[in-house]
Amino acid sequence: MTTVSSIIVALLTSLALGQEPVRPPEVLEHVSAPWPQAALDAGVDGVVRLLVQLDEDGAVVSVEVMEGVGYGLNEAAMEAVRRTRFSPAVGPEGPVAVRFEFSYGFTLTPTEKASAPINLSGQVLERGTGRPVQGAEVTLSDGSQQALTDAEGAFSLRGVPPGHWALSVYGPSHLPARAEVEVLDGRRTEATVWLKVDALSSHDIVVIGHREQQEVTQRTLSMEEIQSIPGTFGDPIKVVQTLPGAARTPFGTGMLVIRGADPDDSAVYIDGIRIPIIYHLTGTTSVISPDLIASVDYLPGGYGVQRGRSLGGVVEAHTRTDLSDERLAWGTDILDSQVYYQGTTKGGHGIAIAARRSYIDLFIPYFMRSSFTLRPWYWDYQAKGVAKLDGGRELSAFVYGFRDVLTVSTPEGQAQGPDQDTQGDLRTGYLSHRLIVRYRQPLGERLALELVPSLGMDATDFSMGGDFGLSSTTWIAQLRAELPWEASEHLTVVPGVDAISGLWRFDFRSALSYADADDPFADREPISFDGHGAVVGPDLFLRAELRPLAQRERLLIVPGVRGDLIRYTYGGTVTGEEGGAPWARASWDPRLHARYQVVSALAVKGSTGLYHQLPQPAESVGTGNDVTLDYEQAWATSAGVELRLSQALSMEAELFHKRMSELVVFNEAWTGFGEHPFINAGEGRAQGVELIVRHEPVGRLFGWISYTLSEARRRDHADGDWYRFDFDQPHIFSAQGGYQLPWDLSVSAQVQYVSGNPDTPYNAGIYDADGGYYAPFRVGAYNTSRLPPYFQTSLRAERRWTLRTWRLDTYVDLLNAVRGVNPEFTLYDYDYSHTAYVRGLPFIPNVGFEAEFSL
Amino acid sequence: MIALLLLAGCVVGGADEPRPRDLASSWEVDRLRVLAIRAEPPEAAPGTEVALEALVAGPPGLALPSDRVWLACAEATPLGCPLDPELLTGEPTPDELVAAGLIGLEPRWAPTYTPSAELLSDADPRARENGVYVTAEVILLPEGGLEAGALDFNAVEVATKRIVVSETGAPNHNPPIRGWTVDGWPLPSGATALVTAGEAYELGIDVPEDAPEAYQSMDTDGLLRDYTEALYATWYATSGELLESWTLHPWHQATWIAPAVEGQEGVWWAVLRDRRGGLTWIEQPFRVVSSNRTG
Repeated sequence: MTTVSSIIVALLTSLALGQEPVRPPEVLEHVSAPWPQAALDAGVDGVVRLLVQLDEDGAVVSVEVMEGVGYGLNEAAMEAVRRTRFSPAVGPEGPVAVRFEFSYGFTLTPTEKASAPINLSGQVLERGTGRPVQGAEVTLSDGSQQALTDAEGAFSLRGVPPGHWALSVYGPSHLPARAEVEVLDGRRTEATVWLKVDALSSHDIVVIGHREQQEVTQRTLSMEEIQSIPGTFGDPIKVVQTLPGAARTPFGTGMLVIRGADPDDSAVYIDGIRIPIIYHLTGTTSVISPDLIASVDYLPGGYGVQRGRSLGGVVEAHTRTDLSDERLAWGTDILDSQVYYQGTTKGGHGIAIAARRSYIDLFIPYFMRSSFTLRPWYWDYQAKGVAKLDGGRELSAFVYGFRDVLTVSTPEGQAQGPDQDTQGDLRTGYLSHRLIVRYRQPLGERLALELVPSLGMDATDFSMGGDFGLSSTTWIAQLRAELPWEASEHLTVVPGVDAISGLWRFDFRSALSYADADDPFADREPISFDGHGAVVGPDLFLRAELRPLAQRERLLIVPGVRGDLIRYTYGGTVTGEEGGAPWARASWDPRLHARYQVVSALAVKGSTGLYHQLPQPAESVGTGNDVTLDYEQAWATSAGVELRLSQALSMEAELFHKRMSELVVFNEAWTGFGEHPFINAGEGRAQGVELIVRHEPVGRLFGWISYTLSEARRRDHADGDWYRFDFDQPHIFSAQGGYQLPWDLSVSAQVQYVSGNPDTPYNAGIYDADGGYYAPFRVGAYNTSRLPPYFQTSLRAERRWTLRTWRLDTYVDLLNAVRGVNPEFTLYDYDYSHTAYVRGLPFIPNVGFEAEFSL
Repeated sequence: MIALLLLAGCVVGGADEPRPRDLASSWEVDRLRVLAIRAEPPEAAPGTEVALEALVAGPPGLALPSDRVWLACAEATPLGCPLDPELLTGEPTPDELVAAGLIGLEPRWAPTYTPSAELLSDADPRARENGVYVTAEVILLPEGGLEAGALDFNAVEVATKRIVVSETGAPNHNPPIRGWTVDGWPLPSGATALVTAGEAYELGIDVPEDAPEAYQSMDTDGLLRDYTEALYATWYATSGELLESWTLHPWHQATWIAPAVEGQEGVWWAVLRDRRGGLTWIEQPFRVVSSNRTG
């Protein structure tokens, strides 16, 4: 412990002349003040500022405390100064009396300090969530002490002198804060400091596709970016359509068209289990709450053997596994309202539940000019439990379900077309439930077992009045199992099973046959039939992950092979009651992909492989005969480069080529019952280049520009002419970005420019006087024309209100803010002599909010 | 960036592109059209002559073409009965025309069709009972006729109708219409309806309750099944707005809103079909006045 004294020359004033002396007084003999026991006990040190007056001889006349410390240090300093010997100050005419500021410092060593008791402590919390902020730096205003907050956000300072202090607090990803505190003598002061999250930081970002990259092309986006893109309704899966390789599909359909594949050819997975539908029938919202989605992988092609039964791309959503932050969220916009809760039980097990209900059906009638009323409504629910297990074991269960109904109703008393047997409301419904369990068990240091069993049901119903109805129900059991074995540092082998089994049935009834629906002379004989069957497909796969270089992450080579197996049994009146012989098929898919990190900023990659896909259910069932269809197949190859231009800026380019064969097409020679209407005779090809330039959310800006140049063609048999694929869009340009403004305000925008879809125009119509309508005809080849290009812009502004334990996000989303034609389909007048375009996306102002409460 | 987007939107624009609501509705007779073709009788036995008539309509002031070519064929294509255009532009002999399927050339040759007496000689019992179809087609030639090799599908109005040929003992008949009603009041035949500009009217046709015929049809198992016709009416107007395009028996009232232009003249039509090839039509002229709706 030491004491130091000093004269502050700047304050030195000559009492005699009122002007500064030529030479200030000097300390001739320093007197050390004795440390008061109270200060030692409290571990307090500091500087006592004194006002000292000397006479012409340098004798101390008076001592006053200007700013003290307490704990007896003021008195000790005054006494020491009184006994200190000073030289007199000297003015132009000799020694003068002066008054000056004199600082007397008491300093404890760190050891002495550490033994001092804590007298200023507190907690740093995050505004909006109330969560403790770990790692925040708390600094006393004179800079004499600093502390870091612990996991509970707690900090403590020892021996802070009494008085008014300011604390400067810097969080790891927060805006700085300053808190005023009053430290009282002999008492412990508690302070709580609230920090606001810096919206520009990456702290709260959930990275999409953050897992170790095992795929050639796996595009990743942050949730923050996703939820800021206008026109996506904050839906993470919807954002996939802004990435390269994904074609634009009509608004409201929710279809995925990836690299020239049919919408049915791309697969959507949740937690490793393939599901048939990811969007509600409005096409705007996925059936899983965005709050529960932790990450989404988008694989446009070249994916590994663990995924199969699809020729197109893959979108896989992963639900959250870390549910430790207890919170409640409530969101509302023009479509629906949803509520989400997550937290942990006393035993440490995580739980999450979410539910959503739409009400868009209440508003639509006010915006429709037509006398027909469109009423879509839906609900969905999700629940997840994550067990806390020891020994590296992991167990979780996820259950979700949803119901969708779309009704097109006609005003009372108005005929819905001239046919007595096709009157009534149109109604389409979908019901789905799934249970997905995931279990992981380490089997030693290098081996593990991963099991993902799933059970679920899907039911559809379609009806028109009381005379026409189609309903189907499918029970599905799936099992995904992998046994990853790390054979060495450079080789991991993963054998696995991707099994599916199901039972299905459907019933159909109609007042008239489908073939006669347009025939004004149709027989009025009602028809009905049903079908049922079972399917088993225990696909096996084997994948190796080779990392041959010393720097393991530089080169990854993944060869793999997948065995596709399928067996159908079927029956019912549609097949002639007894059903046909069991239908079984097998194929195998060899695939290889590799990725080489040339330098830290540059990687090259490539893939090639075979993909097989089952015919669609509606194509598979024979009508009075045995099933004859086989797998569809595609050979897909890609090569690309990834370049990191700066910390925030990256670029990716990829060439792809896909050759499809054995595609299921309608059999032109089909004559009716007793023959199969579909055959494996079609061929297809798709090729192009994809480019994405991305500015990651660093600083105030984020966004990406993607462009796809491609062509996709089909032909219905080997000797046929190639024609444009229905979604062939040579140019797909999409730019979206956001900018963070002050005052927690952010704006974002999206621009899309896409070539119009191919079209086959009608030339004219011939009047059918029996039916009272025009029957159109065309003389040109299929898809030789093209709709005008699609141009869409959307804008979004968001304001975040952060309070202590909750926060409120309010936003305005202006979809299609700048009017474009946006043609989706060609519409003709009654005689097919004039056309207009059905415009896909009207101007939609979407206003909403989401409140999140920390519990 | 937002300014850039707005600029880009102005460049792309598209506000002038026609919208679906700009397309004419089927009830609106705003161009030359064939609204119906009537066959008398609608279901004929082999060797029985069938007289054909077309209801040709157009907006007020449009001269309806009087040159109409009638064809008949057993196998129609999506474009109607196959016909070499040179037959219409050249100077074929009557025999060549008949051999090509010509059954009428209005205004000089009224269209009739007589199915061959042997038409059903090789048919199965179901076809004999329920009938087979022969397609009759009318082509409205544009003013100046057709030029061979330059056929504009939208310049030529073409309509088809199927004539049912059967040996049934109870052949079909065209359904009856007794007259027009407006807001429930019958209109005298030959009168012009006076309607108030912008007002809504309940147009109706008077169809006897027992107009739908009971009939039998042989199913695929050879059994005769009993049916009753399901009549429906299709409504047309030259102007105003019809809120219903179709009405199903026995409710044959359609709401029509008169045009706002005083002094405008026009026509309503209603075509009643029995879904078996039988049909009847009725037309009613109207004139828009400022007040005094009168039948």
